[in-house]
Amino acid sequence: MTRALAEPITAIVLLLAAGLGWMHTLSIPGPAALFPRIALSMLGLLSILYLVRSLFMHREDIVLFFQFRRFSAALVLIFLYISAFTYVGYFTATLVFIAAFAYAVGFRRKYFIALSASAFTVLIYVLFSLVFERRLPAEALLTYWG
Amino acid sequence: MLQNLVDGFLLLLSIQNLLAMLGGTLCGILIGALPGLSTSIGLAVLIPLTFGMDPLIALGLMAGIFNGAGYGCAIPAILLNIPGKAEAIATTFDGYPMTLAGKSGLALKVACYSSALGGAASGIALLLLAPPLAAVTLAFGPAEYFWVAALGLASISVLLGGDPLKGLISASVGLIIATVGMDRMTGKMRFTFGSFELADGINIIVVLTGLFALSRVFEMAEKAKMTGVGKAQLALSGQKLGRQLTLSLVPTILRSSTIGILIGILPGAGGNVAAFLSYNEEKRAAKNDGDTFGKGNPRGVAAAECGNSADNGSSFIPTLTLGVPGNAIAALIMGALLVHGLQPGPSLFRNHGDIVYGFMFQMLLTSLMLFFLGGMVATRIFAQVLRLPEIILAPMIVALMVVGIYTTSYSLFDLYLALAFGLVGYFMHSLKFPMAPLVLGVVLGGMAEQNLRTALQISRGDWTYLFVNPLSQVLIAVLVLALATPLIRAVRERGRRTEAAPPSTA
Repeated sequence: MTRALAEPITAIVLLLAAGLGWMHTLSIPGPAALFPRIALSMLGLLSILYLVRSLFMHREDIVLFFQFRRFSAALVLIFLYISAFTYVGYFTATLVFIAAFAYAVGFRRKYFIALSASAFTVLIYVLFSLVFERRLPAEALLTYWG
Repeated sequence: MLQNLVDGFLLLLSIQNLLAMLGGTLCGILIGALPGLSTSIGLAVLIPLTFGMDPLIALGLMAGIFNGAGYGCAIPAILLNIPGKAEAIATTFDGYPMTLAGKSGLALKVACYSSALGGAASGIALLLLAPPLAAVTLAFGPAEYFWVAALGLASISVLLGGDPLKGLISASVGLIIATVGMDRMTGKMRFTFGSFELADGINIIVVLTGLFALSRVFEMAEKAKMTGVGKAQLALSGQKLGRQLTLSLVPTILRSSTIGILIGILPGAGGNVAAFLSYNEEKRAAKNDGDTFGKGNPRGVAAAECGNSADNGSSFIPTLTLGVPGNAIAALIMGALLVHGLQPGPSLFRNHGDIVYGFMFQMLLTSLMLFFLGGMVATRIFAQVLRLPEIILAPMIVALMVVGIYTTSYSLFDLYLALAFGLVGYFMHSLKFPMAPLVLGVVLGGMAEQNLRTALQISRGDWTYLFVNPLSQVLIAVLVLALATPLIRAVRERGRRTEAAPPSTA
């Protein structure tokens, strides 16, 4: 997406957000609505200035989604990682996530991926489970076999 | 004050504090050495991990990272001509030519010792200047605190980065995010849309890690750099500093430290400004060898590194005393202070004097640690991290972020929220919106609102109460000046261009 398109769209989104936010403050009674309205008014006014400025901009350089496929892969994998780690266990999920992420965005040195993912997971285990004693979700594989 | 000074120093002598400072400095050098990571990301990932730690230990880790990264970013700048971070650009001018001349080891030694001395000088300035300034701010009432928050937001938004309009938009969004949750004064819910998880507001840790760390992960995924640096490029030579060179660097260190300290106190100016100014002044001051700058003069390396490190401690002077951060990193550490229940500002010195003085000593000691940690052996080890491809680093950052946020709140909602902020950060970075004003809006929003409403309660709704006190008037004048600075700069620049343009021959 080019800057000439992205900037006006962003300005419109911000202006809409300011407007909708202002409408929401109508349901907030009393002095609690004062500060949000000040901030939303600032945002609305600045968004209008931003929109006007961006309409005169004619730059065609690409600013968003240089590589949409890799961006999407990263987003989906991070979402799945967050959703899954409480079920399969943090360390299992992390090991799989690092390998899957690197492979999905095009890194093909399998030995290097396996070594890095394993070394990092062990380091995290030592630091967070043993040294800092942080409670993390139990490993499903160990529970199943244990 | 003396009692707090002594208490603060004694607290540092525990093994845990010393290890925290040592660990933080080592991590900082590592983070600084990696061009793909910034000090902001390192702190953003570390801050949630410090939740539950003693505040001074957490601050020791952060002080170490801050000062360690100041030297760490010189490693790729000198060895590979890759500054990685803006603070190290001036270091490449003479650092890389020294590597090409076979003096990489000498350049790194000069950089290390200059960083250490600059950081130490800044730490001393922090200890000497912060307490008297804190005493002055005891005269501040709610109206003055409101204007201080407004000044801090305005100066960071307008002076940091090249686009004041985007900076102010970013700050407005941060202020709105700060209002999410239950209003502390009336108990009313704001912008929660019925969500129970948002009743307590949005955790600053979630905002920090999402904006700074996750957004960078998306960029790394898109760029997908598959290789790190080759082994041959990281070979170091081993030269000694020598007595003559050491003595010749003394005026350089004194000059650059002074410049760095003064720049650090100014909100909005960062380490890169201090580094450039120090380098330029050193070049101007060079009587006989001015034309050797840019060709491998060790004084060039010393000036740049000393200047950018001398900015570190002094940037906390406005942060700790007024609650107005001097730069983006200070804004992050302000967020960390809040996480640990420490409100920056005059009350910090009154209520937690031992911790704040302890932190100031930590800034001094972690700089001095560079003398021992930044030597040839350590630098050879740190330089090896440059061999790690960014594409392997990216998922590791996510894993650290997940463990940090999850073990703070044990809430998946916060992780999804961090992912959302990561997307926001990606769009902001792509469209060149500065992130520091948004963070500052979240950090200062609560303070600004509380003091505004308290002032209006005292005056029974009379808004002129905010403008009558002479202290308020001074703060408002500085605020207006800060907002007008980009306009003044633009007018001067236009005037300079008109003068320089050749006359038309119509």
